[in-house]
Amino acid sequence: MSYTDELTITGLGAAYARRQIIADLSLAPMQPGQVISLIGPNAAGKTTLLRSIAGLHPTTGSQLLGTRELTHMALADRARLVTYMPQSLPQKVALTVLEGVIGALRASPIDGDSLSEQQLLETALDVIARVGIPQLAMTALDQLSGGQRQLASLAQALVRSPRVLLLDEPISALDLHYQLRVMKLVNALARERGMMVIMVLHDLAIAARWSDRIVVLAQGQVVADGTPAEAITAEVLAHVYRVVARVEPEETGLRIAIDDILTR
Amino acid sequence: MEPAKIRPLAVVKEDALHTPAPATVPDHRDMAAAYRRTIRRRVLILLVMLVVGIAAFALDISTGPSPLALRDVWSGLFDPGSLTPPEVTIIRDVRLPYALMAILVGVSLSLAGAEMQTILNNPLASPFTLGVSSAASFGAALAIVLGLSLPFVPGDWMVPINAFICAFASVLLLEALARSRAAGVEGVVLFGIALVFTFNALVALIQFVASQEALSQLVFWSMGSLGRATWTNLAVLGLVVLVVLPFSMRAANAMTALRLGEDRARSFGIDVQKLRFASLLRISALAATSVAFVGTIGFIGLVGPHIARMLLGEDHRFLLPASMLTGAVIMSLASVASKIMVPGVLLPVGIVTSMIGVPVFLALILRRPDRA
Ligand SMILES: Nc1ncnc2c1ncn2[C@@H]1O[C@H](COP(=O)(O)OP(=O)(O)OP(=O)(O)O)[C@@H](O)[C@H]1O
Ligand SMILES: [Mg+2]
Repeated sequence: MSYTDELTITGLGAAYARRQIIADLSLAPMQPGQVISLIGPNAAGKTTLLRSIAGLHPTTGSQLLGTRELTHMALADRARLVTYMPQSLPQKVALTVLEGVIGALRASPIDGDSLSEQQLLETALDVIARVGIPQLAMTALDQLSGGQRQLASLAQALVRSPRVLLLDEPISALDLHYQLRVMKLVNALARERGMMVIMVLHDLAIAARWSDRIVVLAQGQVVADGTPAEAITAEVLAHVYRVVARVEPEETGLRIAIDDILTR
Repeated sequence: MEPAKIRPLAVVKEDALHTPAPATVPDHRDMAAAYRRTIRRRVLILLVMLVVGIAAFALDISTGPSPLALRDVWSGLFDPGSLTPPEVTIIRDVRLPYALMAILVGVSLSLAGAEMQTILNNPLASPFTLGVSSAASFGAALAIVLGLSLPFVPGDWMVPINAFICAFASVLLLEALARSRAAGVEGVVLFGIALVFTFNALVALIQFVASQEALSQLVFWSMGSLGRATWTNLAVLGLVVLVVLPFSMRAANAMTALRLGEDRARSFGIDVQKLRFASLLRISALAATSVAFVGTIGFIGLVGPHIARMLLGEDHRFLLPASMLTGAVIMSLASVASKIMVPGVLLPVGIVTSMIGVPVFLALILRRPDRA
């Protein structure tokens, strides 16, 4: 099964109380099967944008998935298409990793007919194995380390195998092995199922190596958008992060060196 | 000054590099089997709780000024011919309604507490701690002191009815606050705590101006007692539980998902606002009705769900029924204790629940870290 619907965002606006965080933001159609990384400084509005696409934040403008307008779609219908992994990790909760993942499936129907208990269990175990934490399946969520919790949280999002997967800093707490493992996994899922993955990352080298497209956000505006080599340049980094950087293309991505910070 | 040069320690521990990789990874079948075992264990725990509940109920009936053997309790309920008429009367007309009331109140308050803790994401939430019980006391106090009456309502129903109205109003306030996006969950909890203080002050004020006779009635009411259990009261509370329970169970999966975080639950398609509102309605019906009949009984709504959670975790398909059962067991045992703690005196059960509840609660909290 593969999906063909593009996601097109036009004139998107999002505000907290009276503060406009994102105004009139438009993005060229995002393709199914693509891994798109959203980068940018703290408070740029990355989380706000992701939550807006997830339908968790009131927005203006249009978000078109294929021919369907997401903006005013009921949360329950949207949840069949889009899943969001929050930046904050799950709180103290007396559920095991496996129960959390099964709970994510049981929370609401995903595709028409609901799964049998057996299928629920198999699906959840598959995802846990692919994320690479089978040894934690029966461990309580509140006994995990920070990185383990992040992996459990990722599994809760992946298990719904949505058309559009939104991940807010999914690897920020992970060790080297798991950073790579997660990036390879989402790329594989994008290729296998035509899932569209939009993720927020702070590690530029990883973003450059494992994304099809990079969107650079600063102060609620798109500063650059394109292939990693197009979007991540010394100029962009200087403007967005206020750093002195060298960026050189490499066989597998970009070599990025940050030499200093700009102070004015 | 030049900082002292630090000589690096051995950079790589050679033997550490050669220690074998840790234990093998469990495969699907192991994990599935382990999961099924936990489910079976939970069902078993629920069954054990049910048996303990029935035992506590029987013990409750057998305890009293004239102690009865458990076998007589059985006969009294199912085979009255084999007992003397006074014994049958004691069992059926005096002890049975009390014991049933203990069960129903324990079930209602504990279920209400479990739901409240989940939807407000606060382990300290309960009808007692968030002002619902205090509001009921206030309502009762008003009715007792002012001698309120309504047309077509028998006099002795005024106190519970007024208690219910006030308790319900306090939950509606909490609801309104929960619905307005401004306050947030913490706001609701703080508001509930403010309600406790407000209503307690108002009750104190009423006590201050009350007549001697009204005062003693009021004090007795506010201590919480099963003494006003009648078949009508039991039928009303039983009906409330029966009506509410299916809705609670239908919301169980959504509540489990809510434990994973509000944003996450919403991204699963759960309308959290609606879930909260519906749950608060159920809580108000359960808490207001039970408080109206038995007065303020604290800690059941707090301790019951906590014990259930420790035994069974937070899958609400198990947590909700388990909370009801623990609530029933604690209430029945408290009722037994209220009859035997001071020989010859029937203590108000509310005093006992607090006296037992607080230390038990503290013990549970303190041993929490090594929970499996
Ligand atoms: N709940 C809120 N209420 C008011 N303002 C908020 C709220 N959440 C975020 N903001 C504001 O919105 C802006 C964008 O925040 P957002 O969380 O989207 O940033 P971000 O790009 O995800 O940053 P980070 O990299 O630190 O996660 C910030 O200026 C922040 O102050
Ligand atoms: Mg963020």
